[in-house]
Amino acid sequence: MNKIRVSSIQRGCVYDGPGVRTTVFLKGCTLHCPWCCNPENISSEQEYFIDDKKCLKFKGINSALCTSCERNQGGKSILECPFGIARPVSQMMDASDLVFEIEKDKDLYATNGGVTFSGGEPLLQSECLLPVLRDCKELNIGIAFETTLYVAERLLKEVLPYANIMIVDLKLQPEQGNIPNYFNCISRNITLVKAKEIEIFYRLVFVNSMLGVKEKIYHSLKTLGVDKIELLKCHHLGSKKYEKLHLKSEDFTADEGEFQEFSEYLLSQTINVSQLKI
Amino acid sequence: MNIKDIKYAYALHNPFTRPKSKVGKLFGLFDFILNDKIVPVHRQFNSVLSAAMQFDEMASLMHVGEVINGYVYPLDYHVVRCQEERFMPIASVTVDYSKILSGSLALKKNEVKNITDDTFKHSLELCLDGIQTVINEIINNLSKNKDDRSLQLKGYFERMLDKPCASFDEAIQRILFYNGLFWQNKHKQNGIGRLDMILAPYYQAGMADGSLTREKAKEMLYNMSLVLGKDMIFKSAALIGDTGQVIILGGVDKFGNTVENDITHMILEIFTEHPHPDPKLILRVNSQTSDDVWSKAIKCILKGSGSPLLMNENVILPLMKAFGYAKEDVYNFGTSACWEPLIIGKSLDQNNCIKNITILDIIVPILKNGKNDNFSEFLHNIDLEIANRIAEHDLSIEFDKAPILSLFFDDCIQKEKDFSEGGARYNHHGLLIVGLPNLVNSILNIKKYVYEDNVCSLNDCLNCIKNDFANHEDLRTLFKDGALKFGSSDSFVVDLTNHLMEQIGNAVEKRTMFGETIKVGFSSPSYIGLAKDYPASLDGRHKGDPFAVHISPISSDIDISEILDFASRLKYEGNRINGNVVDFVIPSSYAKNPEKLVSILKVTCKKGIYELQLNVLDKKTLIDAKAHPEKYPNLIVRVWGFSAYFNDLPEEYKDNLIKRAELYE
Repeated sequence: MNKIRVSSIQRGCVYDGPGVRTTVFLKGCTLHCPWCCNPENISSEQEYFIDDKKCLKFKGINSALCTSCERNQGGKSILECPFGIARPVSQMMDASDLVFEIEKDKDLYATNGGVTFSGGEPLLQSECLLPVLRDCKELNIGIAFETTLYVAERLLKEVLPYANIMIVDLKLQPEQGNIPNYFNCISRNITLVKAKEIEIFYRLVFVNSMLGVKEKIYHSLKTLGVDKIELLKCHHLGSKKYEKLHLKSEDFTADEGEFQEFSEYLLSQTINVSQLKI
Repeated sequence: MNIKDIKYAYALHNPFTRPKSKVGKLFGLFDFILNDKIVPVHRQFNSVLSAAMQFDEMASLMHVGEVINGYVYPLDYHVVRCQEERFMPIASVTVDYSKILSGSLALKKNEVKNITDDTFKHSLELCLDGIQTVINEIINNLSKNKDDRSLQLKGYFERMLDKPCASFDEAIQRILFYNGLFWQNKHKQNGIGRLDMILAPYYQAGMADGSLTREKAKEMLYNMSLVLGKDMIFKSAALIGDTGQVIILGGVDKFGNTVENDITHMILEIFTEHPHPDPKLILRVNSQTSDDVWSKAIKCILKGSGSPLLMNENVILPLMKAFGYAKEDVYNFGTSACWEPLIIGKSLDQNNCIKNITILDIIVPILKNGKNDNFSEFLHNIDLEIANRIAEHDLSIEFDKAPILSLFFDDCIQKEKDFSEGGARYNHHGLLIVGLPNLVNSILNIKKYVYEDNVCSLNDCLNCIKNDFANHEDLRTLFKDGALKFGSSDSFVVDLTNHLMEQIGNAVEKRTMFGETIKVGFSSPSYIGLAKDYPASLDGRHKGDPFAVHISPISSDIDISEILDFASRLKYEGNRINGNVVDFVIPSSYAKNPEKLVSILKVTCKKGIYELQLNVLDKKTLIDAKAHPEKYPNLIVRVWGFSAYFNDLPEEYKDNLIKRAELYE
């Protein structure tokens, strides 16, 4: 059985769905949102967080342990640095190991908590996840996906028998440009989800540019049948991760006033809006 | 009058308002001698009798009777009892106020009548005379006022002589009266006890006969908290706020039913609506604690006052019984000021009276002398050295005499022994260990870097300690960030920690104080004080840097779920019951989702955590508060077992809180 590309497992999460949850971040995504707060989960290839602040050479400290490092013209890659300046972003996990981690907080999930698979786009690894989903179902652990739903129907269908919750992250920001076949794809997938007894939450990251196209966004929401949405004001908390991945990042932190204005606009259009607080 | 006694009395008296400079102190001492009424030690008499004579003398000198916040609180800063320097003052005990409320001075006099030891009897009678003198003084002063409240209070004081309390309001006044007297007699860090349990009958009676409403009762409780907190600076011990004035809520009663009533709720509401650092709250939680109380407690904690600290009695009660506290007494456990359990009204248990043991002391002798060819040999030497270190720890101590407490603690009158000399039912004193997380991390580093990876030798480690990592910054970096860490739920780390705790427990079991078994705990308030000149340690800590706080991670990659898991898997059996607190700074995400935090903490208690103290700190706010104290006059933080205004803390404590807030961000 194929292993699962897991970038991190966070226990005791309070944002990623109802109740207390363990969130499993899976690596790999088809989209490249420029404000993505998990840039390490965009590529499905292994990457390394390089923390130069830990590098003794950069700190001006001489150490016998560094003489063989490539940064000192030695033969060893920085990936072998004993001071851990290079940390692999993800690990390939067996399903049973992942279930073991999820099960640790089983008592905590109570009636409405559980596991949330996030990413990246978790549905890209649907097939590998199946044994995990089966075990969680048997253990009576609620399963949520935080997904764009911008995936092939087959991938979604794999997980539908197990999912209790779908948190659908809508991509309606002007910066997204023209995502090929976006509306058709997610409309079709939303219909598939709605056909099952699965709770759906819609989420939308607010960036300032959205205020200028608020009517268009409202129209899109209506087209998709969304009448209730969680708005998250865009933040820049992932900036350190971009640095460690040696990637450039742009700050899209939204203006509070514009966020409120947009929120009120949707409310005035009878969309039930709740603001996610981070 | 003995000048040494006076100087000592001056040193102990109101230390936070004393001048700092030498000259200032000298003037302060003169002012103290001229303007305060100093009651000397009477060395020609038996020391218990001397203490009783002092109390009686103090009583006649006190000017008390002023009504503040609706009550009279008999604490006169200007009357000062001298204490002998050779004696450790008795602190951190809690009288069983329920007995005081249902009794009277006349009943106490009757009890004392039967004592056969004349000196002891005389001592207690002098204390009773002193109490009566203060009551009379208050009655006289209240008589001078013509307002209704003064007349009402006068009635309460008259009834103290020969009648039990008859109302909620009277009960509060009586508790405050005796509490003030204990402070006056230099018994610091007085616990208030289980207010929701002991005030319940008076509340219910008042509600039933219509003389009381919830609103009125809440106002009285609020006023009571103001009275208790008004002398915070005077009452503080090591730091401002460190008063030990703990109100305990919840927990089981003697029938095993969980106490939860309007008073529980009202007190939690008061502390949420008016966060203040003193008094403090402790909530005894168990599997019956209602969601409503949990929810109110979490809301209160999230207000930032650090109250309540949570004690998991599903774990603590059976362990106390197994240690030796009687089944019929253990339901009524309280704490010594911070978190060390004892029995209310029955324990002298001085749980933090001996210098705390810096457990890192064991490392250097092993590195210097031990044969450490492999890790298991090294670990064996750790066990031996723990035994040595604890065997040689100086436990000699003599306590200040406390005849006034002998009147109110079981079984002093029956045994005819002073509270300080074994009169109380329980005399299980306690030791505290500081720096266990630092020791665990040191051992984990030695295992990995000396024995597994061969990165350095034990001699290198010794040099790192001796020279504060000079020329070994590379090793310090490794030690700080590299190996597994204390607080990780990795089985090896949990097993190692349990092994060390067990070894420490076994070594403590071999020691006694006054012939009685003693307890040990792994939460110490000395994590800054004892670390000040302490050499570097192999967890990457520099010389002088603070030790880890209690059972708390010193590594940023251990989150709240993991540390709570870890602490739930530790074994607190045997004598290891003297306070074991996880102290954690809650991430802001939980502050915004209190109901989810309730779920986490309930499950954690079910799993077996011992005690939990939560702070809500934000690094940015703390840094700004340090730079601009004037902007944050009401910023409260939890320090060790107490809360304090951030502005009142010494700089090193502010820095430590900022560092910890950053670590847990």
